[in-house]
Amino acid sequence: MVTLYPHKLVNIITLDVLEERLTAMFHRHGVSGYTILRAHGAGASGERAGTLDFEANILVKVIVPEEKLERLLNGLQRQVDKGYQLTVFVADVDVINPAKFAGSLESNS
Amino acid sequence: MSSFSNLLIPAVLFFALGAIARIIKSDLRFPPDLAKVLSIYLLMAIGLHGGYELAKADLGTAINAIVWALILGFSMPIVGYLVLIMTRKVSPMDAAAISAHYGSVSAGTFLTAIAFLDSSGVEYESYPLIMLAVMESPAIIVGLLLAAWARKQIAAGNTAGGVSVDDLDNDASKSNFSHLLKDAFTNGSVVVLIGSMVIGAISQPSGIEKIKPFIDDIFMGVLCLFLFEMGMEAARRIKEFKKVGAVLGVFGVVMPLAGGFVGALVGHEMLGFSVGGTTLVAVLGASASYIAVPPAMRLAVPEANPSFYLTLSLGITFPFNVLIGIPLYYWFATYLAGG
Repeated sequence: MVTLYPHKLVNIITLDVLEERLTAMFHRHGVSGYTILRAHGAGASGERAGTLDFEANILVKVIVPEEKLERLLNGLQRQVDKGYQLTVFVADVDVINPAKFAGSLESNS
Repeated sequence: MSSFSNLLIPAVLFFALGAIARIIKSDLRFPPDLAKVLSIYLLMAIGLHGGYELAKADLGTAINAIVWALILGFSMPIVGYLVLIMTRKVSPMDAAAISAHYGSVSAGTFLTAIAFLDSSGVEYESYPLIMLAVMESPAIIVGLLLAAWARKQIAAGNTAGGVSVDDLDNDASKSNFSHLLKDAFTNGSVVVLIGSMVIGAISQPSGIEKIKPFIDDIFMGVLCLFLFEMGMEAARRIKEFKKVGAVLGVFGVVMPLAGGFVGALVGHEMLGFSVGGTTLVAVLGASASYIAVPPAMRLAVPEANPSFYLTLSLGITFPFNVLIGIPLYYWFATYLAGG
């Protein structure tokens, strides 16, 4: 039987122009890794078809152990306070290799 | 009427086809990133071509053109901002973001004007091309400064009780600002355009001759494809017109007319260009950016509503310039030359 370890999956849907800013934040906040997908859809700010550069959205996925969550969410909240449109939602997930999420991007590189 | 028949050039007709395809809800879709690929090609081709011509040009006139490009680029967003504030229809943040679009330029409109001049057999100088490259960035900077100023005013209003602005936040915004300044100058289209111009200027003429099929022969065809897609993008904005409202809609037509008028005067009076060159400077004054500035404003002025500036620049001003503006500026340039 494989042991599962509870972690948090932070999902962020936002403008692709914010990608650089978010990844810099992940580096600062000791996140171990992230995955970014191009996305399109519609919501409070209207349709985002993603055909032109300035209309593209991204979906960012970050898995963190519980103790890193608060700091990451505070960083995201600051961007929301500045007026950026971020859709952030957190889910409970289980991972099989917690060591992978314990380190940071800085220590990986 | 000659200027009307000049609307019937393939590039403009494809723009209309794109808009129609969107309006009749055709399932036509361009592959993602196509517009990006095409715009890189167009800037590269026009850059090589222009750089090659500019190498033979007069340095004094070139410097004069750059100075006037800077004057236009820095002053037009300020004028736009003041006009927008006077309409009382938008917040200062929206006004800053919108005016940055109008101070900057649209390469798509510029290239359509070149297609227009070519099809009418009108000669033009290559100096306006350097002006195109120079005018991409100043308006972004002015937009950022106006937004920063407006933000400070709003913050001062909100903290009238005496609470000071968070120092740490101030530092962060300062470093953001220098970052954005750097972005304004290292902007992709500026790098492609200036880089290609340098390559065109220093390359062996025989080398340029070899790539002529790539930069000359297929150029107008690629422009058609680009405008085809932009026609669809412009028509996509139609449903946002209501949100923008009549006053801003009028701004989307009057601002390019005013900019075109000033541009034509600069081209004719200050730079002494031919009718073709004067038309191109007028188009630079009239056009509003929809590729370089929107992402910069999204990043730097998140408080501004993107549907305002995108609908205005892409949905109203761009089609207006392509369909009505360019022949009009040409007519005005001819009038100046004649008078």
